[in-house]
Amino acid sequence: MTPIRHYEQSRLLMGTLVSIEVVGPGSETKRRDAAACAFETIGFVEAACSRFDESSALRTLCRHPGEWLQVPDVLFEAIRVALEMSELTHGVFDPTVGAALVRHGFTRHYLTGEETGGAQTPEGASYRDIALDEATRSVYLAKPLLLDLGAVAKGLAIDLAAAALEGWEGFAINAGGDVYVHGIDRTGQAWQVSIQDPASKEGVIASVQGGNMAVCTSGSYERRSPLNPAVHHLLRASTSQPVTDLVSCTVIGPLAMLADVVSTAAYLLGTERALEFVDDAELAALCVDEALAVTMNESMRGYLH
Amino acid sequence: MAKISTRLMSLCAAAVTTVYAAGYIVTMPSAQANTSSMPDLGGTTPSQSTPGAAAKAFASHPPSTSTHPVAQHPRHPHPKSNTGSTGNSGTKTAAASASSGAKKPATTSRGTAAKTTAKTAQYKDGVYTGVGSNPYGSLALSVAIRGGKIASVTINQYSMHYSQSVIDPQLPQEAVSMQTWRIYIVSGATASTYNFAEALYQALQKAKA
Repeated sequence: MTPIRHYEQSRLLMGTLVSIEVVGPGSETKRRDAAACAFETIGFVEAACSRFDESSALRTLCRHPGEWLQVPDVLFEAIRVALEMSELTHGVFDPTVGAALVRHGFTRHYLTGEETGGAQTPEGASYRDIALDEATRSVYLAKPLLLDLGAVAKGLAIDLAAAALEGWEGFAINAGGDVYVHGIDRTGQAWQVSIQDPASKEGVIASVQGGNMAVCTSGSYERRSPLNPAVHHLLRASTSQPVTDLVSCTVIGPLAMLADVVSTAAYLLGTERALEFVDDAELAALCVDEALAVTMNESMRGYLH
Repeated sequence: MAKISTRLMSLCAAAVTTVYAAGYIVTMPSAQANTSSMPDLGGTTPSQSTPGAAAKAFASHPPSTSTHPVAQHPRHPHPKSNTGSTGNSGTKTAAASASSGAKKPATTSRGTAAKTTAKTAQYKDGVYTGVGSNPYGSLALSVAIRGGKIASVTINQYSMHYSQSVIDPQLPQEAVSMQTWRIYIVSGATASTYNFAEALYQALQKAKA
């Protein structure tokens, strides 16, 4: 069967490899421009929300504790969702984890390997030190702190890129393991997304199928601390120690932002509470624990291919 | 407990809608991006659909507040350049008050919206070298600066399990046309793209005026 016309491109963005595939009729240029437009959207979110970039709106905000600062919508919304998740998990999820990440050596820009600073930020702040003012779109940081919006900004970027690609028969956005698929793939079938086996680079632990869904995985197996190999990039802000009883948690949802933040929170909550939490959020989840045992909730079974 | 799901879903949906409704993305056709942000290509004329061309529109105002080397890069994306988004004014205010500690190169670009000024003033003329390596291989290059701009990039040494032709001449050309080390990835050549970016960044650091 001849594949449906498609275009695929990858770029380095948001500290990861982002691939976009556009499927549908029309000229190659049209597909390519659509992908370029979607990449732009992701670059826009990164420019505002990056912890690694001193000129980002996020870093600007963090340089001004003790003042109300009006911020771009994209940053305001990302912080708002992060704070909501902090409340829901009583601080197990906490966007002020940035300082602890820096202490563990997650400080280098992904392209240049260059130190990005921020090491002087004191720890001890929590999400309770962040206040939002909806009317003026302003943020107040009560203490010096370093935000890390990794768990929400990437999802938001994917959702915005998806919005930019609306109207195409099919597309897939893959940002370092966080995936959004829509419509059909190049063979005319519903997209299939494979969930990587945490134990091996090549292995696949499960395969899910759907027409419009975000599949996001939070796990400890991709990024290790350069200072301590036992420390990965998902930390509990309250203890500054990584949780260790889950290896990964994959969540499927209608929006990448939702799936991403819920998978991160569930991962941090650990084996005992992860699936229950995702059930409360009415999403599908698949968890892999330290013994590489796979557990999932009922709604995940519906997606398995 | 449906409360969690409803609350989270509505917040996330609101986030996407609010940001998307600002319309920053649809109002930026690549043609516009080209004319507004690449007035000084020095002979290289990439097609409008060159990946970096559209993205470059984000740099129509150079960041001006930081002592960070990355921040001084002319193509560096910054929320301020977002045409049509609301809520930028606060960032601008913050930027202004944050600039007291900024080093010279940043000062040069501040106040004039013309990023061309910043761009031409950024590098010293000459030839500079840089190397990049990762577990998959290494790469060495030299960059020639003429008139303060990246005039050419030459890959001098290349080791990788796939051919140099996968990234050469694409990446050197893109570096010249975009005037940046922030090049886009070549599919299937992730490792050498990283190496190229690292090497070029290193060389450009040496060329900093």
